[in-house]
Amino acid sequence: MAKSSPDTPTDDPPAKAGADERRTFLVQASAIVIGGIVGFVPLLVGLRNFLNPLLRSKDDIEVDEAVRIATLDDIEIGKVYRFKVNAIRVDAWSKHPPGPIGAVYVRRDSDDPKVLPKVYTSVCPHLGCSVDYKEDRQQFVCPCHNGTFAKDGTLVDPETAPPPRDLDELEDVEIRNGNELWVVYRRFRSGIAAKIAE
Amino acid sequence: MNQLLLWLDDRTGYKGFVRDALYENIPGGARWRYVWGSTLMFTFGVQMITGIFLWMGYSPSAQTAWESVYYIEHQMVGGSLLRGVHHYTAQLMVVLIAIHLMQVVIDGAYKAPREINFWIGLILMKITLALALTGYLLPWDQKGYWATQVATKIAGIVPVVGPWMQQLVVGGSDYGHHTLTRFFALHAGVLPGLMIVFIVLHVAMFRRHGIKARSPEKRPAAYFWPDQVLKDGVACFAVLLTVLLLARFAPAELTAPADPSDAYGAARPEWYFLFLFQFLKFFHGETGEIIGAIVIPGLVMGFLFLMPLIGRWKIGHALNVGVLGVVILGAGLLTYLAWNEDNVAAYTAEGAFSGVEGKLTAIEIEKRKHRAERTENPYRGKNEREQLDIYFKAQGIEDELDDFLARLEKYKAYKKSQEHLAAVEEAERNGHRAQELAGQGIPPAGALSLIHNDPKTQGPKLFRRHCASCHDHVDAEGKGISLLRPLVYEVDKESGKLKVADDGSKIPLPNAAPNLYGFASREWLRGLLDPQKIAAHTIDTDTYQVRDAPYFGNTRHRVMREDEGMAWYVKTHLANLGEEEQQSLEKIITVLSAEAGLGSQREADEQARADEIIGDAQQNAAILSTALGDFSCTDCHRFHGQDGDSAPDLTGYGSRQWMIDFVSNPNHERFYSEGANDRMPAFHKAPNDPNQNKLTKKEIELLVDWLRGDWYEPAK
Ligand code: FES
Repeated sequence: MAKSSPDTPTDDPPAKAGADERRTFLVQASAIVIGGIVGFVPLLVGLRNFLNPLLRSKDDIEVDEAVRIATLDDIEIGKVYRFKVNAIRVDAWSKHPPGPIGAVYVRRDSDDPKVLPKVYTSVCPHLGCSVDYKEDRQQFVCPCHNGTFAKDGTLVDPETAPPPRDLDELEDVEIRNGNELWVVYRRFRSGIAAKIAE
Repeated sequence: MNQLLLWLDDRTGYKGFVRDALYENIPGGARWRYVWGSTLMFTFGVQMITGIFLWMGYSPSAQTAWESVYYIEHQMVGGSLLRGVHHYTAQLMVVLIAIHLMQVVIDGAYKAPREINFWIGLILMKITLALALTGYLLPWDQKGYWATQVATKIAGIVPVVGPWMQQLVVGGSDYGHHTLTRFFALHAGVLPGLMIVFIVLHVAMFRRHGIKARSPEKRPAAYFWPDQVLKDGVACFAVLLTVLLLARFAPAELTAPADPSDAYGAARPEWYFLFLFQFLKFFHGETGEIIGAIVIPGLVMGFLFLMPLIGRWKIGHALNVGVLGVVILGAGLLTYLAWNEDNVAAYTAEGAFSGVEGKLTAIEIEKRKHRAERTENPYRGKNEREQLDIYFKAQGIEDELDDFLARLEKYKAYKKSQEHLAAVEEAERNGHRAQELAGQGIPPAGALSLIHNDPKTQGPKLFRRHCASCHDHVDAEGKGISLLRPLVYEVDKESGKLKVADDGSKIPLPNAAPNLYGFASREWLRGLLDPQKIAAHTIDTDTYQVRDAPYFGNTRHRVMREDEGMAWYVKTHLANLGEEEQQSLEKIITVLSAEAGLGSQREADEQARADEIIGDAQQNAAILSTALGDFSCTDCHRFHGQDGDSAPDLTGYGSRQWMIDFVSNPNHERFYSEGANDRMPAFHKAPNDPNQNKLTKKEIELLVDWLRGDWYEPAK
């Protein structure tokens, strides 16, 4: 079949005999630089925004504030209770009214008001599943990879159990107005031996 | 026509493309084993098409993702089929990739000159897995939410850069809107884009090198068209049929909307990642985690990448095939183990562990006994193993201990599986309920608010936490919420010893409250006013518990006062009623129960109104003033203007408002006068000081609505 109609470019451009080599180099270099800029700048513009979670200044992340968990009369000595943590939650553009943002386990060992209750997060230090307290076994059990913790939060069988550390205790515990339990709720990085707040 | 085609070919050269595409030479002829690549192309095409249509109905944000998926699934025409096809094709794609990989490795098609194409194939596999992972989260339901949490947490344990990586994919430190927007951009934009690029390269290179045939000399070569095309078509058709059938008869699941505050016990990854999930159970601690979740999977991937180079070596090919076989068998075995661990209870015969359970219960009874009798408790403060030692020694059966411990391990695995199955069942129930509620229309705040405001879902949880330590909630068949009530004896404060009654017997301490199932219904009141039942209870000294006390039998009302109070009245005055009085009693029950206005009794109440048993307030008050025995209800209780004042006000008894007021503060003068309340706490004493209250108003309303059986049910 006849291939070339007049306006179909088919051949290589004619070789530029004796063209200035320096000029050629400049043209090539500029083409690469300009091409690079027009290619990369939009990508960088996007990337900078993508890195928002890392670059965003910490100022607008809420300061840790204590939240009220329960009154002491709700907590029988020696038993373990699960309480929801109610607080204001900000999720990007949504600001939620106070509502459950997590849960804690609370245990009181003595009715001496000076002995503070022990408060643990319900988040498994392994990979973040939500641990259950089993009253009959008096243990915390994680439904995911069988992580088990004693009543005082220590990891059972640390030699073989998947979690890398004990259940995370929340240390900023306070009694206000004589019988209210207030706690600063935190989350900790999972999967590592050290307990580091997120 | 011919002219037109010629013109088209002149302008585009399409004939050349078609010829290249169809007249590819296949040494050794068409074979079934070559269909896998084509089926993968096909499934990818299906995913692109269904994905774009799903996109048209989907909205990625924490308040709209589940909602829009619900809408696609249940309200849009053909939505369930569309979502089902996308859902099952994704899973099939993972299976097909595994088969394709095996075929390529077994046939040696990864060897020179096809190394690069093999690597591209591995990249395509990774992209597919990433698509599967990101897609699992998008419905923002409990299942996807919790499973994906684990995946991103694994990213977080990578040394040094882990936490940054995690924050970048999650879009912050917590799951939320930006997790969805980012996952969606990956799932519908970045990953499919990359996929297309690599597929083009993969196919182009495949064309360049042609099919790698095993023993092509056996049969004559043939063109791709039509034999191989037919075979490929048949295979794709089989894939399509499978997917359609699955989508039609097992619609893709949608569990309840993601709830960060809910303990979701059924968290598991999608089945093709189960082997990794199981694998993690074998590693412990931080380093173990890194080895199990990152290093070993990384090494396996690394080995796959090196296969073309290893293949050059004489025994290399055999090694490659061997290792791949081991990996695939291993993954299969792990998947089975994970499945089995979760499901053993489903096929364990009931009573299989009665021996173990018997011994454990015996120990519990021993402990209760020591506590009740105030004797030296050897089990106190001992761990499980020590307790077993003590028990077996005490019984003189030490030699059975080893056997028992072995059984105990199995029993624990069984219990664990039982818990998992229960959690799965609950997840299914909640998912079903969420969809029922969403059927009324979802408020802008999202479907989660529907669930948080649903008495049917929240009632039992609140009851368990705040009421069940005293009250039961069990129906006539004994199903419902009920805790064991241990037998406790009264202790003399001074001596610290057990008190004894005049006849020398110990005095059991009441420690429970009435069963609230059907509270204020006629049935319930009939029981309350039955001399046989009001104070009924069984003190079981064999197992050290108090059983069968549906009303005041295990409360202080049973024993509080000798010559007054409800229990005393019912037992002494309602015991020998004549026929006429019996009828009056039945009338009183009908009238009083109607105060509650229970939904379950609506028809019966209306009937009684029509029969003029129930009248206006005055007539009703007259009925409650009928004396039975020496007294009438209104001698003690206030009721529509009749002003008894020593016992709870019965005006509106069991109605929503009455119950809310009662639970809020039973010590209010309307209810128990001083000292008459046993131990019912006030749950919302101070409306103006929220910090004083055990329960919020909302929680009490949920609880009361649940007790009254008052919640939304879709019309049948
Ligand atoms: S998440 Fe708890 S054991 Fe793995």
